[in-house]
Amino acid sequence: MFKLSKKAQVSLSAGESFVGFMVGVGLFGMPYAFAQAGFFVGMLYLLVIAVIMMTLQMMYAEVVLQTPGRHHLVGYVRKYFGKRWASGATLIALGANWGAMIAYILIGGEFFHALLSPYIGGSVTVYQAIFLLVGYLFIIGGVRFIARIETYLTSTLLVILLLIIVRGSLSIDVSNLFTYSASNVLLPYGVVLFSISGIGVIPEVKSIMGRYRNNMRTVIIWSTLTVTALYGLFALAVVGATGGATTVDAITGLGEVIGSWILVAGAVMGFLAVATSFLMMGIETQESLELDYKFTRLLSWFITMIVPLVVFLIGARNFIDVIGFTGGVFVGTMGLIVLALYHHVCKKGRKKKKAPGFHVPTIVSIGVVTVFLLGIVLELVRPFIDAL
Amino acid sequence: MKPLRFLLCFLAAYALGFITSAFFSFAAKVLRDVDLVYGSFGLAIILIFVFAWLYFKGVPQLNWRHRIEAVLVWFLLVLTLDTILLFFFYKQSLRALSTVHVIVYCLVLLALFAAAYVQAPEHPKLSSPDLMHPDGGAS
Repeated sequence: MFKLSKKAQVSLSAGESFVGFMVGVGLFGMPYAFAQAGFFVGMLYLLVIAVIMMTLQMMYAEVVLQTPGRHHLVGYVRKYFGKRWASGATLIALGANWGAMIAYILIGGEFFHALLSPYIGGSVTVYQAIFLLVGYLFIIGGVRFIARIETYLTSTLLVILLLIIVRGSLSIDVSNLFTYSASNVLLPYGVVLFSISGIGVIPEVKSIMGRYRNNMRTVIIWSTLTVTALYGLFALAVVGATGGATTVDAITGLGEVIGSWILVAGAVMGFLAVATSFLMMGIETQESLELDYKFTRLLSWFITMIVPLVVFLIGARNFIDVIGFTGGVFVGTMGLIVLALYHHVCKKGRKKKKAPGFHVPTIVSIGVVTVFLLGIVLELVRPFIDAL
Repeated sequence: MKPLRFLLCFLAAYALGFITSAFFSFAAKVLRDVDLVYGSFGLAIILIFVFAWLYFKGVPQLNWRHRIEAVLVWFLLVLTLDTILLFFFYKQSLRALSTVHVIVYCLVLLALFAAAYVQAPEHPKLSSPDLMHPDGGAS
């Protein structure tokens, strides 16, 4: 009988966690960004950023493997660079979480609207506001069972995703793929970076791997390749089927071309996946404020809630802009932090005459820093350019 | 901390406060007596005190830092919801607020602190020693 070795079982389990963490809300925004910029421009972004993220995740894995104990990014910054830098890293991590939460509110409200508006009416904004309010009521309770549900929902989301890829690929019109818009050519950068980041889950992968932790690099490579392939195929199926009519959430536009069943299945799964991710992200942010700043549950909840609420009320309604900004600025800055940590750990290792398990040439690091810095500047400046 | 108890008390106080203020505004319009609006302010403060008192009654173990944070969150939630109502429900700007509103918000803060103080089993002590007392106020 076919039996997997213990090492293979552990690696598969870690890979499952990795893929589950990476496949998220950004998936729904990618086809729209690709359709706007040009499908092949988007695919180029996906491939280049996948390679950069893979390198970065390997560098972070090196930091995680060389440091005893279990920490998160902020914990490593505190350990190697001190408290002051850790406060900055906390703000960056909070910014990334808040950005993701706003994206969840926007896209969750879209799915909620797609499901219920044919029966009870109402605008998308009302559904987004309801999503936000109900979500925060759950977050204050610190719902733990959501974590268990999320695992099953991610698996179901992957099944629906494969279904959409298979059904969508049967309706591909090749002419839909040959689009290009010079004015939107930078649009996919932040969206792809937001979607493909798996930095946060590396410490967890280390714990899952246990004594097989040296196999982490293989897990990172295969998981990132799997996610990149899934994203690429999903974008191909959606953009190929809907072309210029690709919607921001991908699913509603696809429903109009393929049939309402895909709209219902996709929106139900999308809504549940987004809702659980929103709750998990909210609880995680709340808990990090409780642990790092020693705030009470109430104050942590209020801080977790008020920033996305204010940004939403001020007028953040564009899902693509939100994930683009969050990816470009916050995920980009987190990437720079990982680079700094990696070089610090390598320098320490060299002093002890210990060679790193994963070596990155300096020229590659300089290239990655340049890309991230340009991305940060681009996303910070883009709202002003768009306004002109 | 009982966050759900907090949320329930807050929402009850806010919803009842909103209903009474709507009623007083309606009465002021019908009776053409603007002074009636002040009644709604007074009643809202009493409601906040009562519900905050009910919340703190259920959490006697809270220390003073926790109580201050609860008061702060309550007050900031009032401010947030009032701002949302002002902008999106009444379609007004911050200019619509007068000195009376500022005084009312101060009174709300005072009512919340009063509720936290009344329900606390131990009250804050001076952090510096009482030099007027022979043993430094330790007893």
